[in-house]
Amino acid sequence: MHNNFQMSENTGRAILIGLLLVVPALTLWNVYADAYGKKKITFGKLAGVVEQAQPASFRVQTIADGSWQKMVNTAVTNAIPSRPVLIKASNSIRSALFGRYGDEQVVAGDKGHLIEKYYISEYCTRNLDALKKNAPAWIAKLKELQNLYAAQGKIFIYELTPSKAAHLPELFVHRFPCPNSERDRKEWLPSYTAMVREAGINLMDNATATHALKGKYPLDIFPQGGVHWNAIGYTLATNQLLAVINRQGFTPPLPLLKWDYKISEIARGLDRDLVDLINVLIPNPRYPVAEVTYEKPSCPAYKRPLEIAYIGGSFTGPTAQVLNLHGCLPDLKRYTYLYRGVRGGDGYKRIKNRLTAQDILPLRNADIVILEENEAVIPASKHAVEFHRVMVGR
Amino acid sequence: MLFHEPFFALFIAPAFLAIFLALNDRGNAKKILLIAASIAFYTWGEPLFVPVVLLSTAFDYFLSRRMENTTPAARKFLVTLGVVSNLGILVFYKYADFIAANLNLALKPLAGAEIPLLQIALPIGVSFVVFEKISYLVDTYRGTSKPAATFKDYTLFVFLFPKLLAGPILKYHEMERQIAEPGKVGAQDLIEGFLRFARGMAKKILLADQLGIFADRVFAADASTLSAGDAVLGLICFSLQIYFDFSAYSDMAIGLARMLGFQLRENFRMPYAARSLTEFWRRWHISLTTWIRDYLYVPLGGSRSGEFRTYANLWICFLASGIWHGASWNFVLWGVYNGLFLTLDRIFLLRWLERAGGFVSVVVTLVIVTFGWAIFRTTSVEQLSAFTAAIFGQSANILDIEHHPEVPLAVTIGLFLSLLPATPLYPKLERWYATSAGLRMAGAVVIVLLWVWACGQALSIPFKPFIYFRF
Repeated sequence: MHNNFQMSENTGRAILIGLLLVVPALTLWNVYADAYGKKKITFGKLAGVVEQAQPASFRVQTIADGSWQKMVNTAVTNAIPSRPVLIKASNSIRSALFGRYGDEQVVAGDKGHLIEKYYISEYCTRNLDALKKNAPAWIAKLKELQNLYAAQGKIFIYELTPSKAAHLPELFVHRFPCPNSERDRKEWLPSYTAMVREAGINLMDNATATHALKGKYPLDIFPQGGVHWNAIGYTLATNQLLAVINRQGFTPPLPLLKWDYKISEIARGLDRDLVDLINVLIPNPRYPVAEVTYEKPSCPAYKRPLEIAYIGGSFTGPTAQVLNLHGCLPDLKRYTYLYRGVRGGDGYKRIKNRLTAQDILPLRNADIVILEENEAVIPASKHAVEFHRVMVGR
Repeated sequence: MLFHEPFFALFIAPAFLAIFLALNDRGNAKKILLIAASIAFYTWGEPLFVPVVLLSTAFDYFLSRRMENTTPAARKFLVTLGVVSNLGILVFYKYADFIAANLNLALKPLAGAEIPLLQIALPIGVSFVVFEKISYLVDTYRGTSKPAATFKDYTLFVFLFPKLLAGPILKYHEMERQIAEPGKVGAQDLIEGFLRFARGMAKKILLADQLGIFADRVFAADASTLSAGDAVLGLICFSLQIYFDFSAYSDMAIGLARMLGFQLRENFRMPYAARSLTEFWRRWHISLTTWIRDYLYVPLGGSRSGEFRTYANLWICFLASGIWHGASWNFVLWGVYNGLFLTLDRIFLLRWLERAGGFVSVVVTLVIVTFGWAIFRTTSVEQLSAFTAAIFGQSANILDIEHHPEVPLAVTIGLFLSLLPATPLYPKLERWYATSAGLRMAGAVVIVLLWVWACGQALSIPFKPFIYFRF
């Protein structure tokens, strides 16, 4: 078929070819930069982490089954320079039109509060009968762990942290299908903690303690755009942990934190983790958050460096940092989800990523072990079960 | 590799187009580049099937060359051999397990042993490729077109990547000249081709995929637990999804081909504005309908041998069309269903609909077509029967299905775009659009913006970040 408009000007064609090659060339650079640690050229930045697919090697088998092509497709797509801004633009339109976010795991409740859908699903499927059936086996394992440390004269503390859905159910529950009963939701945590206490476990229930703070501060413990507790919440929780450690006979006793807070209208860091995670063009971090300052403590001197292990999920991040930097426990190390990485020591620095059972084994002889579970994953969260398996050996 | 994936739309397509344009004045080099790129494109998705298609392409070419200067009987033998070998590929990859499973079921009381199933993954595009190859052999046999001048030309016809995976189904005689001498790409080709491609991508991602989420949910649910409202809404969503999805793919194929200097025939012409099922099939998947007309209906005798034979031919054609869509009894039933209404059209329905007026005829046709999609989308006769009962409110133990907030808007836009051509307003709008440069420019801007949004949406779908890595 002949065209009426033939391309006659070589310059025009050269410009067009150049323009067509811009995105592919920058994408290729980004693929190279990704592989060799160079600086990528992108428009904007995306928040959140994604699991990296296992690289498929270039073999007949991987080409035949399509896994190599899939890997290349993903690597190239992720390297497209305009990807961040395009994703944010799409998410912004979606949120403006439909009130939904690109990552459908993040949903909105009343008063602009964001939450991960998982927490609502968990809260709305709490079942007292199932808890009473399943919890004793897990509590027995916790007891085994505690006995392991008690036998050596060491300290074991089991900590529970709160969930936003359980703390502010009035903002979320009516917006989503919630099949369980009010009784299931209300009595679930008290029933569990009662069973744990009855078994004689050294429990620090920072979940119930946090829920009890409702209405006691001019702003809520869970920020509007975050899924974790704010600085007031984790500071109070840290003091509770210090008190529990002292009650276990730790000498010399650790001083409690002296702290103060002020209210800021711009959220930063953890207080806006979900605002960032929805990846929109113009995020809204303008809501009240707490900013805490700590007095420098006068720390007791120890005869030898201590082995203090704090094992848990995302809620333990700020508490571990405060314990380490302001709580006179510079030897404390935080094991994120047990194997994801370890951080701590002097200056609370990253020590190692991706641990194995071999890295964890020495914790059998730790002086203090704090094992955390969030109330949204009890009983028997994966990291806690794995910690028990490695420590007890079965 | 699908056209609407960012990997193709934002990386492969512009890079390839740049190289292609650099060779715009060099016809032969362009042809070689297109063949190489097309084979690479197909190999990316179907690495094990491409050698089969290449061998079969060489065999077709050999047969077509042998058809020249030989006796009519030999020509007939050669074309039969070619058609059978191509249908053999289709039967092997698409129908072998369906045939074996049904034979096993039928012969179970008689034979102890079962025919083992091959469990071969269906190569994407096999039905399209095979029909195009048959069109070449038959066109050559009939003398409608000469055999391809070179193997290179025929390979380009078979592998031309814009139409490779989902059509439009090319007929060799329609493409002969463009394949032999690909035209130079002009600015108009690039602009119109890109706008067509962008329109298709926006339709696919922003409309079809949104409708598909709810349709998939409804058809994945136990049909006996569906409320009448959900069943009807699910069916409407699927009817719109299949139209916007398939026509979007045709838009992308036609647009891409245009950017490479090829003009492909239209595959959809506002099908939901049809006033009868006969008219619907002139507007829906036109390349398949015309293929069946030219290469099956006409050879069977068409409407030349009396009323009864015409009806029988129609049924055979629509049975073939049904089974072409997939190896399952539902597709056979769907073919029978269409054959039935096309026969009724010939007996009385067409005349009745003409008398009933535009509104009634469009609504009746829509109801017939839409229920046909229920047959098409369900996966078994049992599911179809339960789904039909659900439409009429006969379900027990009704379960809630989550309604995405996108669904109402997507359905409204889908119905508006599908049914606007059935209104008297449409011809006026068409004329206005054709004569107003400003309106066309505004339309182009809107399409580009929708395309950008679609790219963002396509990129955001697989991006599911966490705040932290968990256990």
